[in-house]
This record gives sequence, structure tokens and C-alpha cells, in this order.
Amino acid sequence: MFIHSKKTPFDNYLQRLKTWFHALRPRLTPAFNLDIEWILGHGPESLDLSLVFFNRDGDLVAVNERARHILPQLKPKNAKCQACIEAIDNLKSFITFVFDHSIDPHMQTHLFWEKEGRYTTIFREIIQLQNNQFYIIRAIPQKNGSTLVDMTDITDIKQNADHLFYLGQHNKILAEAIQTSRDGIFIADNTQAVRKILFVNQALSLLLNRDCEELIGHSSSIIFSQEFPKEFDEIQDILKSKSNGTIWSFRDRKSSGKIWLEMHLITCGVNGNLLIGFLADRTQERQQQDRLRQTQRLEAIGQLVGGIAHDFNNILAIIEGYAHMAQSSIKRGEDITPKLEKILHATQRGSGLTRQLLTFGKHRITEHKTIDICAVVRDVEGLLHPLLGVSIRLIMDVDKGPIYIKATSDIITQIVMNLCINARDAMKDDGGEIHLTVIRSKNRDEAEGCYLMIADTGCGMSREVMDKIFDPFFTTKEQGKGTGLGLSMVYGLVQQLKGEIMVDSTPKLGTCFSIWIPQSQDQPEKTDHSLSGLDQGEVLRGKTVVVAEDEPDLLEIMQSTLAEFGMHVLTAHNGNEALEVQDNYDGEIDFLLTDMVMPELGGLRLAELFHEIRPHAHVVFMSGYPVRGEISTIDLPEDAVFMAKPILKENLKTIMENIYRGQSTQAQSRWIETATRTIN
Amino acid sequence: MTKANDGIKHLKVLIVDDQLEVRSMLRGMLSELGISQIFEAADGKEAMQFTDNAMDMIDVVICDWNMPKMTGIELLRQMRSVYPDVPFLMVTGRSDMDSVTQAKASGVTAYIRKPFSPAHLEIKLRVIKSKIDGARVA
Repeated sequence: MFIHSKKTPFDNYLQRLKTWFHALRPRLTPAFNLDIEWILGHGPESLDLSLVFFNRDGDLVAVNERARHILPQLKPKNAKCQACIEAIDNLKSFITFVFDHSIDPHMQTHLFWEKEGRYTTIFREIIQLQNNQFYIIRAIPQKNGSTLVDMTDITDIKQNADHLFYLGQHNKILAEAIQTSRDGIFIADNTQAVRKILFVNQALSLLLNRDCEELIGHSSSIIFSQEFPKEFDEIQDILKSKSNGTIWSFRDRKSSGKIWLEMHLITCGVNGNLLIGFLADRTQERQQQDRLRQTQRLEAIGQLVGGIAHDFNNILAIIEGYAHMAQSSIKRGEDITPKLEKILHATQRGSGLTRQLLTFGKHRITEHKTIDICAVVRDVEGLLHPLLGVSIRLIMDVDKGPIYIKATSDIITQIVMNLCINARDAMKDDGGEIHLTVIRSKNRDEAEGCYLMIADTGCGMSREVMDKIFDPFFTTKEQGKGTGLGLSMVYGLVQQLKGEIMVDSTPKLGTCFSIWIPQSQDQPEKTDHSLSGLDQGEVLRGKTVVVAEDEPDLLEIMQSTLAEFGMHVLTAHNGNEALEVQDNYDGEIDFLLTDMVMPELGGLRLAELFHEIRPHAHVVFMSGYPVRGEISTIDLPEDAVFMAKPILKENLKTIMENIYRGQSTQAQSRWIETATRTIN
Repeated sequence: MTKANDGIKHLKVLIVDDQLEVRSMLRGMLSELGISQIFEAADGKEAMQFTDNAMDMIDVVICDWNMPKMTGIELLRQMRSVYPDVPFLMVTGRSDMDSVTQAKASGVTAYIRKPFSPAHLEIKLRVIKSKIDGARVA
């Protein structure tokens, strides 16, 4: 123990202390110079102090209960010691103990010896005991050479002090972090309209290419106007509402080229009295994002190419095979028409595939109209029954409507068909039910819209499958049964509609696809038709028809009749013009009504050509000759219907409605018969 | 097939394409439509020379978009600066909306996407014929 060492420097130190002590003693002691006899007489327990008393020989003579509570080792000299491990019974061992546990820099500690090996000591030490308890130990020499020790628990104070110290450090660290941040940060006074800048970090002054002095104390509009001149309104909105927000700005600077700046504004403090802005150069991130998007696109295209290459090879093989066969057939003098037809058919399949590729690779820009989803879904029902077969029961629960959405009927049809085909395949041969539901409902963000739900009682899916179903070319169907494009296409279409798609599935129980589509803010476009048409031609309403008729009066009558059905009518005075009219028209054309005999181009050839470009258009032939016998029915396209003039309004409507509802071709001839008979 | 083609079979057509195979294919298709007066040019320059000398011999120009030296659009602009009304059918391998919009904006009378069948070509020629007739009536 260093208190025993008698080295020269230490002696010098003690000598110096002795002088100080004598100078200090009169000032120090009176306050603590307690009448020990009095204390002992009145019982030290009555005092709210932890006291230990050593006599002038250094022996511990008294310790009160509080002190013993802190240090149970304290025992008066000669007291009977039960299980004393290391009893502290004299000043020397006490000092040793205190110094062993001290965490103090001994700034106020003075030890020295008087004659005959007696200690006189004055110190103030902070010690730490187990359980992280901290005490101040004060040793106060008394007049008669004895020593009074007082112990005070300072654990709470110490901890608070530590916190304060840490906080002080913490603030320094924070300030350091803010200064060295790569993002520019400024703090402005938000209580006044000028929003004076109170603080800027180095990154900000670098980003704006201005010194801190040019910024601090000035209005923060200095920053907004320099870097966000176009986004003024956006910034004002955030500032006025005292909210938070992010603003992007694309700057083309002379010095550093094109950069993307992001500014995040945060209002904070009491009553939003502070405005903090984070400014960052996000050019690299943007570029990386773009590259990533490009890569993903390439990946998707890679997947597509891989999937389609197989099909293409098959097609090429067919073409090659039949071409060779045709070659040898010619040598043998045989008819090669059937083989050429096979080749043509194969090329059609090929161009179908490339179209699919193009549709997937690019967003086909189709103008979305305001349509009633309920009506469209009800229309699709007719297509679904033959598709689903007899073993599957289709249960329709469609809102009465109208629920207007921004879409095309084509998109909705595609979504419904794709999902229903999947549902059908999930039920295999066992049959089951498909519930097709359209209900008006808000989404989770409380936006108005509707849910289109398709639920089946099929085999369901596992989690792993569910995670991948929207990936292109992911399919669980057998090779050749599915392209794996269906659901990814549905996903793309729903995105186009700004909708959401969710899937819920339980293996062996079934799957439910829910698609939420936002409601259209616009009213549906009104076609020019009389009110009487409203309650009549629901099916025909909004459909587009091209009428080709060389008799101007008749054309006018047809136009007004069809407009009365609520149809959108395009007129043409001859076949060529009909082709021109459809060429100029970007939308879907549902019907072609054509006269059989016209100059330039007759109805039959017109229908043939029309079918080339608009294969889904239904054709109705009109003729002034009442007898069909004059025209060979073989020449008529499969889905064409013949009507004799004069055309009766009601007949025309019934026939067109039935064609549109997709009555089978066998049924059509019956319709033709009925129509002709009625007219006659 | 031919009996219905009365309207277009008298059209005089100039084919502009840098590829011989495409020119001969087009010639084949046109003759099948009953069109007999067919002329060819291998590039824009040739086409301009031809029209400068014999514009009255041409009713329709069928031109490929994608050609070296002078693109179809450039030829269209040059030709229109001299003959503002010449019917111009643009053949394009591209089918994206941008190209279509560009083609329309530069004033083509009609455009046709590759690959096309004789029927498609017939439709386009009929569309052009209808436009010519319409203009004449007006």
C-alpha cells in the first residue's frame, strides 16, 4: 500500500500536505467537529448519518447501524467477531479498503503521519461497492486526534451526473454526425414567413456551392429558388400545411452536369417552430435504378425469348417440313394447296407469338374509356359457359351497377377469362364451382372503387407457388398446356387499370383472386341516341358499327336506326370508303353492316377484307334481293348473317343482339331463316 | 379475286425499297391484285429522279420506312414538298405506337405493318383509292 511507502518523493509530498493541512484545519474542522462523546452518549443511531469513529490510536471505537449497513465489515476493536472475514477494526485497514474501492482521482485526499506511527488523515473519496452503489467517504480529523468518518450514498447523483456527461458527449457526437453527413442539412426558423436559416452543414454548402455565411441568417427561399425553381408550389404546400414532404428536382448545371436533387422537408419542434431540410444528390441512385429497371426488363425478355424459342422452332419445323413435301409433290405433279395451307397456318401461329411478345414487352397504348364493369362482366358470362364445360357451375353475383371504371371491355374480358381458365384448370375433372363477384367497395386506402373476385373450389396453392404466380412463364400446368403468361398478363392489366390484385388460397380448398379497380371520376361518354334507345338496346349500346350502303337515303335511315340502339355509327358510301373509315378508327369495331352490291368493292369481298384486319367484327349482309339463293352461302364468312331489305328495325335489333351474345354458328342459320321469313 | 379489284387495278404504283426481294414480292402481290403498271426504285434518290421525270405516271408510292441513305420519312417530306398530294403508303416493320404516331404526323396517306398478306395490301390500296376519290369529289 502506498501509504506505507517511505520513498523520498512521497515524503516530500506528505511534508507539503502537512503544511496545507495545518492551514486548512481551522477552516475545515469546525463544521464537522462533532462532540463524539455527545454522539456516543445520545446513541449514534438517532442521527441520519452513517458514522464511523476511530480514536487517536487508530482503533475503530464506534460505528452506527447505518454505517454497518453500508459496510458490514466494520467492527469495533476487540468486539467479538462472528464469522468475520476481513473485519475492519482500525483506521489503517479502513483506509486500505477505501483506496482499494476508490474511483476518485484523490484530489482531496491528504494522508500523513504524526509521531509514534499515528495517522492523521483528511480525505474525501468516492468508492464503488458491489451492486454499483457509490458512496462519498469523508474522513474528518478531530481536535483530540481521533477521526470521524462519514459515508454518504451518492448512487443516484452519480448516475444522473453520468447521464449528463453522456448527453454532453452525445450532443457532440450528433453535431459531428450532422456536420460530416454526406446529405446537406439545414435548419430554419419556421415561426416567420422568411424562414431564416439557423444552421447549415458542410455538405449543404458544398451542394449549393455557397459558403455557410452566405446562408445562415438569410431566408431559406435562397435554397428553394436556387435548386427548386419549378417546384415552388409543392414546397409552399408543405410549408403552409406544416407537414413533411419530399421534393425532387432535376437540374442541369453548367458546373456539374445533370443531377437529381432530393429535398426532404420536416417540420418539427414545439408547434412546428423548426423546419429541417435534407438535401441530397440522388443522381447515382437514379441512374442505378434506371439500369436495374433495364436489367429487369432484359431478364423478362430473356425469359420470354427462352419460352417462345421452343414454340418458334416447332413452327419452323412445320414450315420446313411442308415446304419440302410441297417440293416433292410438285415433282410428282400433285396438288400442293393443302401443304401450303399448313405453311400459312404455321406462319399465322408465328405472328401470333410475336404479337404476344410485343404486347408483353411494351405497354400497348389503348385509350381507356369509362365503362360499366357490371355490364361487361355480365356480357362475359356468355363466353364463359362454353369455356368452363358442364362439370363446373358458374355462380354470378354481380352488382346491379352501373359501376363506372376507366378501362376497356377488352381488358376486363381478358382478366376474367384468364382467371376463369385458371380456376377451371385448378378443378381438373372433378368439377366444382366458380364464384364470380363484382361488388362496390372501398379499398384499404378508403378510395372508391369495386372488387372483382373470382373464387374456385379447386386444388388451391402452397405459399411457394403463390409467391411466383405472377412471374412470366411460371406455370404448374403440364408442358404444352400453359404458357405461364396468363397471370403475369393479368397482373400487367390490373396495373394498367391502377388497380390492386390479391390472392388468397388454401391447398385442397380453393383459391380466390380479388382485384380492386378504382372508380372512374368521369361519366360515361354519351352517344347521340334518343331516350327510347336507353331501355332497349342494352347489349348494343356503346358498340361501334360500320355501315356500307351506296344508296344515300337508305344509309341515312340505317344510321339513325342504329344510333337509336345507342350504337356508335360510322358510315361509308362504298366498300373502299368502309375500309378507309375503319382504317381511320382506332377503337374496336363490333359490327359491319354492308350492302351486297356496291360499286368499287362489293359486300362479300369487303367482308373478307374486313375480317383480315378486324376478325372480331360481326358481319351482317343486307340485300335488296329477297332470295338468298342468288348468293352462294359458301361464300359467306362463317360468322356472317344475311338480311333482306327492307330492314325492319325490330328484326335488325334482335338479330344484332343475338349475334353479339355469341349464338353459335349453327344457330345463326336459323336466325337468318326467321329474319328472312319475318321480312317476307 | 380479280373481279372485285376493278377499282384499284388501274392504279400506277411506284415501289421504293432497297431490297430486291421485297420489291419483287411486292410486285408479285400487286400483279395478283390485277395491277399492271408497277415501277421500282431502289432508294430515295432514284425515286425522286423518277417522280421528277414522270410524276403523271404515278398514282401511289409504296415505300419502305427503313432504308439506308434516305429513310422513308425523309423521302416523303422531299416528295411532298414538290407534290403535296401524292398518295404515300408507308411500309414499316415497326408496330409500336410511337412509330405509328410519327408516321401519321408526317402525313402518310396510309401505313402497313410488316409482315402483311396480299389482303392487307389490298385493303390499304383501297383505303388510298377511297381517299383519292374522296379528294376528287371534294
